[in-house]
Amino acid sequence: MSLSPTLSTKSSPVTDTAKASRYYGRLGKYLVAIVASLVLIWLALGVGFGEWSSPMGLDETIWQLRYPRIATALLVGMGLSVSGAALQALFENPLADPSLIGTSGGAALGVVLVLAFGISGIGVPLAAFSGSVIVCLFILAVHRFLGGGQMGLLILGFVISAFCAAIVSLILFMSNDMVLRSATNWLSGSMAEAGFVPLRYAVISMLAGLIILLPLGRQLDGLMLGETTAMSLGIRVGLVRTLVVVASALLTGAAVSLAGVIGFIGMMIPNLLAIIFGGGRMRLMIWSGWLGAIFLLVIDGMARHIAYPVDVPVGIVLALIGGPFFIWLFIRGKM
Amino acid sequence: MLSLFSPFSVVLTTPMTLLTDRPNQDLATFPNPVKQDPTLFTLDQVCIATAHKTLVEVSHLTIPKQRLVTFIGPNGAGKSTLLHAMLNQNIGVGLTVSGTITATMSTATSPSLKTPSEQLIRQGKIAWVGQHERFELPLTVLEYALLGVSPMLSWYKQPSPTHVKKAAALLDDFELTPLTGSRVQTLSGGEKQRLAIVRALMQDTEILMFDEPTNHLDIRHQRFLLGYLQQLVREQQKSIVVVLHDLTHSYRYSDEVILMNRGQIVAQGAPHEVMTNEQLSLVYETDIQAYDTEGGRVFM
Repeated sequence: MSLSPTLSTKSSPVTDTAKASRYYGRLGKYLVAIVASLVLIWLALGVGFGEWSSPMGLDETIWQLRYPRIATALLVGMGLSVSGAALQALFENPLADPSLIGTSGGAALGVVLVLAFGISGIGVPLAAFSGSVIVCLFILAVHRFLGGGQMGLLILGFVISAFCAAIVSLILFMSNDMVLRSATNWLSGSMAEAGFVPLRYAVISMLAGLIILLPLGRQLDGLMLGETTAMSLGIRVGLVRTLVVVASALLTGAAVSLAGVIGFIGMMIPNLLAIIFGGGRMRLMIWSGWLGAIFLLVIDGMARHIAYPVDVPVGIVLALIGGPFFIWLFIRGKM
Repeated sequence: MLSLFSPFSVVLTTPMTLLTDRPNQDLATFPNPVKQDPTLFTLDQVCIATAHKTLVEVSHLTIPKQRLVTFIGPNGAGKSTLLHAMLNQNIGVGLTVSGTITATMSTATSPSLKTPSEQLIRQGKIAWVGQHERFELPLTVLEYALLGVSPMLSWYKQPSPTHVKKAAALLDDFELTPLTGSRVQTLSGGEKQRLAIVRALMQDTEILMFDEPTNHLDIRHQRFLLGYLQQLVREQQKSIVVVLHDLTHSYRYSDEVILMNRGQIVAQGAPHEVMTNEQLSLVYETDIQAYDTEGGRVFM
């Protein structure tokens, strides 16, 4: 991982040892973090049936049900957090969320349309992903046509998302109870469907998104300085904007196809880490991805455990816990 | 491989040095047979307008190279608008820019190649500091200053220790060293402005453009900055364009002054030619008198 720049004084045995110990101190911290993550994953695998049991002695069928759920939680947490970190830089707004570029609205629209037509199974995640990406690209196209810079993109995203939400409400208003129930489950973000669709498609989409986004870290930092200043640093603003939105759509679309609309995490995690760690966007995106994945894993574990046998949709638990947690941090940060 | 060429270059230059009566003359400093164009920007028939009114109208303007050029004029004269248009013709929602703004680039093959000026900023050849720079970043002062070298680095590379040393030296020059590890969001207005200037200087470009860089600075820092810019022009042959409000400073530090009013260029030339009492009083619509003191000419 990249070390942040420090002022180095003249090299001497004392400073060399200090530098070495700082480096190994950092390495030690990373090792601890990795081990802690692995422990948490192992613990999460053991949660189920209202109690905890060792993942070692699990029945094959239980294992087939649980590990996709864990993997989904990690992937969704990672995808939404990285996307959120990138969009907060793009829109220069700490309240930016992956849903701002139309991904949630598009996914909801896709899901509700296929549910209303009685399609189920693989059709639903596919519809979520397609809806996400199509609406996102639509917003980009309209923005290219109408112009308006960054503010224009924000406004368009907001308006078109709201429009999608209105159509979703309309369709639900006219549907029967079963459709309504399935749709509500999807829209509140649930990982109960994990494992029914092979994870590889989502993984491919997220990998593509990551490969595009991570190298853009420095350019995102430059974008946060304002458009003209970013141009003076040789950044091609229009191109970066397009790439970031497309990559975010790939990440968020995959996340939504796996677990429905999960809000909050894309906004909260990068903000938290920016306050605590700071630093360049690439580093922030990597950290957000990692900690976002672990965070959602923990929350999902709690969601499965607290009201067993009811599987509380993770989006609800996230909002219930995440909200007060964020406020607490905000108050602590102010003091 | 390169070492093979150095004896060659010695062989080539030696006869030339023998022929001249300045034995230590380097081949590179021989007078350029083609005269380099001294203009930096050329504006022709430029008109910047919104749907309702014309903001700036310039029939012809040339800005020279390797000088400290200052734009002065009352509020709303169009100085910032003009500067922004020189950098980026799509400067905002609802603004149309017509006319041509070209920059004269000198390359080895073509000494006066004219390109649209906005290409220069996209190529990272102009360092820019606007009136309202953004500081809502979770970066420390040092990291922010090092953003200036990001055009020179590939995406995975971190700034080298040389860059860090240079940043530290500049931060020291502008008295920001005690704040090196602080988050930029915690700085005062003047500190933020000095930091933005450090970032621009880190870009190490030939051309620098600043929009009211002295707004939040106290008089000591204002003098330091303008003296520093003057030094950059004299010693490193940089071209600097600045928008200023303070007339005394403008007179003292500029090589060339451009006076604007109501979107038009009123006068352009050396400070003593342009900044006459009558002209200034007319443009600023208030009585302005110049007084010569031991410290220089003061405008009140």
